[in-house]
Amino acid sequence: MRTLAIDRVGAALLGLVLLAAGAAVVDWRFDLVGAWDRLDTGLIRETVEADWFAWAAGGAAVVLAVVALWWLFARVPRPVESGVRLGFSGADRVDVDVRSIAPRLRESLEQSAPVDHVTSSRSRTGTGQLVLLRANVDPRADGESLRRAADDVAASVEAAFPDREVTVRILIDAPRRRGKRRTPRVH
Amino acid sequence: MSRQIPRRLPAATWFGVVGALLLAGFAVFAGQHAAAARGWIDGPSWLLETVAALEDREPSIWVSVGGIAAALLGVWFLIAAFTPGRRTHLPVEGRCDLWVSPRAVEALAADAAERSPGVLHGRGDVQRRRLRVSALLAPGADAGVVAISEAVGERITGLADLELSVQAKEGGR
Repeated sequence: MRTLAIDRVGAALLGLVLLAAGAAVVDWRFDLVGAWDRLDTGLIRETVEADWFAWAAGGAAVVLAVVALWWLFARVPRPVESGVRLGFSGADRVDVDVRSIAPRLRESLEQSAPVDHVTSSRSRTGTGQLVLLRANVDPRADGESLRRAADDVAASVEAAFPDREVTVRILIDAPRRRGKRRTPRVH
Repeated sequence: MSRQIPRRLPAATWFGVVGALLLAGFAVFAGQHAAAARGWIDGPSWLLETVAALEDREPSIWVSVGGIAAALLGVWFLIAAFTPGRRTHLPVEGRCDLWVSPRAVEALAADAAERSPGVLHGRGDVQRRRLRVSALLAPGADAGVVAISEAVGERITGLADLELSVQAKEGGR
């Protein structure tokens, strides 16, 4: 799921609307500031019963429904295009399919680092694509070997894509079967 | 190289979904009034019934409960709108774009502590920039906090810049 910039603004606006509505009901119930006494319900009823108001409500319903659907579905992740274009000269043009690179990087990391269950995903960056590798660490691993293996993977990507059309990020997570061992080790 | 910090989805993302559903609810409410007023559907307009209820001296118990719930939900929405997504991983200094989760560091530290002589059980706990290791020692074992500290420090060297503290407790016989 993607995060939208409108989420924060929308959540804040809806929060204010809900807070105001709740405060109005509390004032109606407990008569704290007397706003309810000053409310002209006759005028509200007259407006709602007016012929034009039904059309306005219909229009508002359509607009609200469209905005709600857009807000709901705009967060569905968009597929990232498979290829990136490498720097070219003259009439030559080379496109690289990044989908074919990710499995090699996964394999390379799994073989060189004390990790397992390596997964990958791709996202767009300003200069090309970022391949995100995610792996579960072996609890017997040490920091140096993890860093060395990650450096090797990053160096191979840098060597293949010196203009940073493809970059790699590695996230190391906890072991998958963490806490399964119930018997304490006895030396 | 500027690195974007890996984070969880901010709470506002989930509230965005709730907000979209609320807007859809308002759309149904407005649409029902339009349809009822034009005679396209049978039954009274919900909006007119709501306006009629406004003339009561006091709201019903359900309206009162709904109002309080709306106010609380509104406060929750406002908090969510301004809360950033939590960081999920710690940065690792170096040439590559490598990040490690605090739970992974805890697992490595616990394993390193458990492999120290005389330690029965080890546990790591990362809180902000501090790694706290608790070790349960075998009764009468000649094990020291310094040895555990060195083993853990060696294991996580180069991975995370954390302040390390070790607590060791001797197990009962």
